[in-house]
Amino acid sequence: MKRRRWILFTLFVAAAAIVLLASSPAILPCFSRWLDIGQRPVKADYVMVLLGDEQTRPFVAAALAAEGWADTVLLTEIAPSPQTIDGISPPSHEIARDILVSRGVPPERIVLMPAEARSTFDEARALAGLLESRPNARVLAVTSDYHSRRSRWVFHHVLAEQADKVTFVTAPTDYYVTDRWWRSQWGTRAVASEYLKLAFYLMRYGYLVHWTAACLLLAAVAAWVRRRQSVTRHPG
Amino acid sequence: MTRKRKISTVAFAAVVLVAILFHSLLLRGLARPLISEQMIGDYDGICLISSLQSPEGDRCYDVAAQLWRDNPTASVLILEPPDNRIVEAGALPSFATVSRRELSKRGVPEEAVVILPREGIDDWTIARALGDRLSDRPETTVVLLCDEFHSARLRAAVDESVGEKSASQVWIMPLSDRRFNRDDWWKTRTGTRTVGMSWLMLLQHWFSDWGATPPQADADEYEKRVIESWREDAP
Repeated sequence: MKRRRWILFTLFVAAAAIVLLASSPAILPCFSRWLDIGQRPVKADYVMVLLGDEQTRPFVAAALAAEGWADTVLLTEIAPSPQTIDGISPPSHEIARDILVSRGVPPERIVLMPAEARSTFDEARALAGLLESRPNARVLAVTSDYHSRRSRWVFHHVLAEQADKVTFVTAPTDYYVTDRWWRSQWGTRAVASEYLKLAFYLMRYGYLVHWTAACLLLAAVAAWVRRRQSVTRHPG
Repeated sequence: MTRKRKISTVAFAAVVLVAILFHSLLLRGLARPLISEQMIGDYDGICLISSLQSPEGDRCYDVAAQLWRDNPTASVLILEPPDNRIVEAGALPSFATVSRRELSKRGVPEEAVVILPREGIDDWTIARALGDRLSDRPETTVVLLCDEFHSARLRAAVDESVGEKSASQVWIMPLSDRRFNRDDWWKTRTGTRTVGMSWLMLLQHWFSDWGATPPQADADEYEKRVIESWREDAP
């Protein structure tokens, strides 16, 4: 009986794997689409460019400024990389600033928030600092499509109620095909790593560890109760 | 508890104990498949590549300049990716321009530098650009500088994309990152992120076929498409 159950279970797993593999071109695009929580722009006081991916984000920020959605563009000072320290390339915030200026944003409308940021958390904290003096300000946060869900989670975590003042406008990624992300190194890097980072954030800053521990405890108790019942029924 | 279950429990506990006691060894071993190292012999060329728009490999220009000083007859090959919006916007010079400048600062003369165009931004385009160069020069060898955790993937791309003869003419020199050590990469955030990303990309290389990089729109076209999408979303 037990052996038959194992054979059926193995057949079921094999069948499920075959179905998943066959339908993966239909399923895998959902992984990249789920990460994109972009919203339509609304009139705001600031556009904030989340740094990284300079091929897309500053251009979208420049378009938002040009279309009149906000007057001021915020950049966060980024901690220097080894290449910046060696004088090979400027820091990301300077690259973003130069792109904004070249796309028509007047330099006096670009504000650099001092932060030495190394992560999205640091950028959110920099914005929290600014919002302390401007509690009614509305912000359009620009980031890449694949980065937006995690960014929103981070901003909610750091800003709490003030996170309602932030609207996420996503910059579409065009150096890989988003619906075929797994066929590109950069697509895999962007999408798959976002899920790993989300899981890490949920464990480190969220309650994933607590929920996992609770589920494991419940499973252990259920297994113990089942064994006790089995022993009671068949004491021999 | 049955005997079988007792043995399973003891075996499981033993595995967990070994994992805890030897975690450093296990984690170090996890990073090894990502690195390809070879003995470097006589070479005729030193190749530099970029990761999107930045030069790849920490201190790559220092290493390239030193290799050139060790063999002043070698050429320094710069694999130039297609121009992108950041270069078009004038916010950053092209990879070739940056490389010429940095190599010149380190004493490599302009005549030693050769710019080779590359079709896209994936590893296969690096392999093909090198393969095209080497197929015309069957007796030459090239040292390809790259980030150490990219080296195994690049080695695989070169071996798979160009003929056996051309692949044997490419030696890969992995460059370590000053921010963390390959032997305790898990102790830093940068190390953990680098090894994690590198594994993802190696898995992608093994299990997925390669799709071409789509042509990138220029800045005006990109912004126009984004603005139109906002208008389409308007209620």
